[in-house]
Amino acid sequence: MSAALSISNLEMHFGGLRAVAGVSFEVPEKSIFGLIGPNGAGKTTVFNCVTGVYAPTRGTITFQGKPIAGVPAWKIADLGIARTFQNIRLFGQMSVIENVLVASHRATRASLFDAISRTLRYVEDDRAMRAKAMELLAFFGLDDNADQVASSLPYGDQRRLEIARALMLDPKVLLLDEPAAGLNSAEARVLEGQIRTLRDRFDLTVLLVEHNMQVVMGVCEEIHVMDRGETIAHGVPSAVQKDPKVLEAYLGAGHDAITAPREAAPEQPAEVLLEVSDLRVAYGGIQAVKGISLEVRRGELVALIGANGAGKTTTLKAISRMLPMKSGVVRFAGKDLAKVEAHELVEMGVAMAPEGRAIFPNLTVRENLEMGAYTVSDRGAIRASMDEAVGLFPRLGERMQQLGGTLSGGEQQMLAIARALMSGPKLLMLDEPSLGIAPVLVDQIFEAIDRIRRKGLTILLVEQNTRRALAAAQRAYVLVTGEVVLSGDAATLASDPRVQGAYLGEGVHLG
Amino acid sequence: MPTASAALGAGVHPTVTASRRLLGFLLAIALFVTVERVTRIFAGEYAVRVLAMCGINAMLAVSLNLVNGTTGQFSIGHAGFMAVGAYAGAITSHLLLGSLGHLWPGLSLLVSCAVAIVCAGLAGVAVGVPSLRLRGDYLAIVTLGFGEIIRISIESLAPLGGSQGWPIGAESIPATATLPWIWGGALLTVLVIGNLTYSSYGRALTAIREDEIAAEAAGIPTTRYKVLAFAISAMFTGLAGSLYAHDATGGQHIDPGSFRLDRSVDILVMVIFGGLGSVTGAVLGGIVVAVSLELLREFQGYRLIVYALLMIGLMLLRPQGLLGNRELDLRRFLPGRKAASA
Repeated sequence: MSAALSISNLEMHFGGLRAVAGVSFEVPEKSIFGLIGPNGAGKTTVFNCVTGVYAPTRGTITFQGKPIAGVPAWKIADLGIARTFQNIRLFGQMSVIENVLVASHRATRASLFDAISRTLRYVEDDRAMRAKAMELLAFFGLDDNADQVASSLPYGDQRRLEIARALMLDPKVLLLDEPAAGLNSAEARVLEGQIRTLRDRFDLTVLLVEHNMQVVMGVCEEIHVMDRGETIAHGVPSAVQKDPKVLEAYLGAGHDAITAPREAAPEQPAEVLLEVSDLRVAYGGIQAVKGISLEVRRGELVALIGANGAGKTTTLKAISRMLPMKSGVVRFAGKDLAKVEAHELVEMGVAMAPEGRAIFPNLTVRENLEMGAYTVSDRGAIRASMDEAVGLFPRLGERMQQLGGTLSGGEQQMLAIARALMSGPKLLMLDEPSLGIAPVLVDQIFEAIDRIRRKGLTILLVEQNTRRALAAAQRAYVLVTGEVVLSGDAATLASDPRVQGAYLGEGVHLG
Repeated sequence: MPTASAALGAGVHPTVTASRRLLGFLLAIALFVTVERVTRIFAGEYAVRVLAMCGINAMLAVSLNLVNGTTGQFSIGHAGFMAVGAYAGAITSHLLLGSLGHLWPGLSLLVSCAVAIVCAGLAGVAVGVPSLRLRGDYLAIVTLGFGEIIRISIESLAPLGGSQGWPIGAESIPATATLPWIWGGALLTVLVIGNLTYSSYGRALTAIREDEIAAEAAGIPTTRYKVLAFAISAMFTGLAGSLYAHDATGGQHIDPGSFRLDRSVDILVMVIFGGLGSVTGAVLGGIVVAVSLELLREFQGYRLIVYALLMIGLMLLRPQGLLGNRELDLRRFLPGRKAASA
């Protein structure tokens, strides 16, 4: 089998940082090839070099016998290498079908003159492209959403739309950057099947960066492992899985799931800190949350779980006043939040680490933390919370002067949590803290969450990783399409088969 | 702009033959001639002049919207392109005075407008190529500088009247651009830029506005497309300039002072008033600005203060502009037919 893509001695430096330090590998034609490694290994940087976002410092990239290192991104897309992005980059204000159609632009035969004067050629071309785009959307189960604004799609659908857009380029090689991020395990299994189907149906070579090991091991035929910019292993999944260097670098020493030892429930239940009753939220005409009621008592860790599109993030955003609610009541410490604005909420003692982290990329770690303490005026208190944050996440302490944007995904998540803690909140809301993060860092993050809770902080956790969420929480609510279908003690729910049912029956698109 | 695509509509209207299109355009011109006559009879010459200003403004706003609204770049030097068009057109028709201008003034105006379009387009490419590689604010600074350079250059050119200006009238710039000409120019601008906006090319431009990196990854050569949008925008701004220079509805003269930064800001205000990204919104914004400035003449010295208050008020009440990024779809008002964009 010949190579679809070959990379040799690739190096990419950013200032003094060698993000990729001499990586070589060949991706066999029509294979599904995994590029894995812990956060900060340089995988996405390799992707960015291959797709022309960066011109590599040194080394060659060969595609179909042609060197493509340093070629502009649009030309590489034109040559037949398409990609998706780790942090989803859709054209948010455009409709779903228009997002896909953008990628057909280079393929149109219609000239600018044809387009302006709407010649027959333009109209026919447009019709053909639309038909093709609809076919792709149908493949991903998005055809019913064709005219919807792309930013209103739930997370999982946005990921699928990105793949559809990439396929519109008729690529020979498809680069997927963390396609399983944010998918639950049932959805991830569907994704595995879809990747294989994609390869066969569209005659593709697939290059995959992914943290979800279930997906990587399940779907990849060959795997290249990186750590800190260098190659540490290469081979078939079964061999890579057993490679001690991989285990050490990727999974960390002594990898065990953290299960918080459970204390007995206190005799007297604590007072209710957050009370949500019959909350309804709608985007345009679509009801995302259809009457959710829940309560979080002081000192509790309550998890909100459910498949993609279940309304978890929407619920959090409505509680934190970032989305208007259609009806319902949210009370925090007895106070109705209807008239409270998002920033006032911080002063009241509600802090949030949002999905996708939303750190300030051009501020240093220290400045990010200081921003979190914006409502605190006591310098001593700020310093104390800063020390506490560093104690919780020693990695941040090592990177105080680094810009937030240069941190790896896991470190950014730590920063987001630490920043939320800086305001000295009574209630901490965490939205998908494990999203797109290597398992070893997820462990560290959940350990930290557990420590935060032990200090007496109340936590509302939104998480699609059910196992982790139920292990960390005392109580949980299971959401399906905007409604609470199950709730109760986390340990009981963990062994409840209906929880799995709630996932499998929902949010799964069959290819 | 998903809801907007139907208005001027790729894939909505079947293609129309060239002859029917020409017929439509001629009918529109005939309509404009009627509007001019009727207005003159019932409302007087002054009203015709206001209508002409509306047409010029609409052209300017629709052109700028292609860059600032659709493509998401930021130019505040469009007065410069207007000046290039005005003086290029004026020089051309001045040179043609003895020949074509004498025999057939209309054709002379057409030639002048064509020259204006070409000159302004070239200026657009010259400004766009170096500055559109850069992102964000750089374009604003470069266009700002460009506008001033053009104005100051013209001021120092004695044959063009320098800062005194160049009179419109016999033996100087022929006053040939009557209301039908100006509205015809506006119609052409709306058709070309509207069709462009709602074609695959416009979709590529919108994609650049939404996410430049993703647009590149989808195969769009972003710099080339930004320059394209900028050049087309400059071309129609030049057309507006040329018609303004030949204004037969009461224009006295053109002078560099009318192409200052305030003019660029005015155009920007029209675009934001109408709603960034909306072609019909830009037209509406141009009309609203022209008409409200005339209505506010009653306030005399306080006119600009009242105008500024209006601006602030509108931005507080409708920060997205009159139409947001939607298009005004007349079919929505037709009974028995559900508009595709609804």
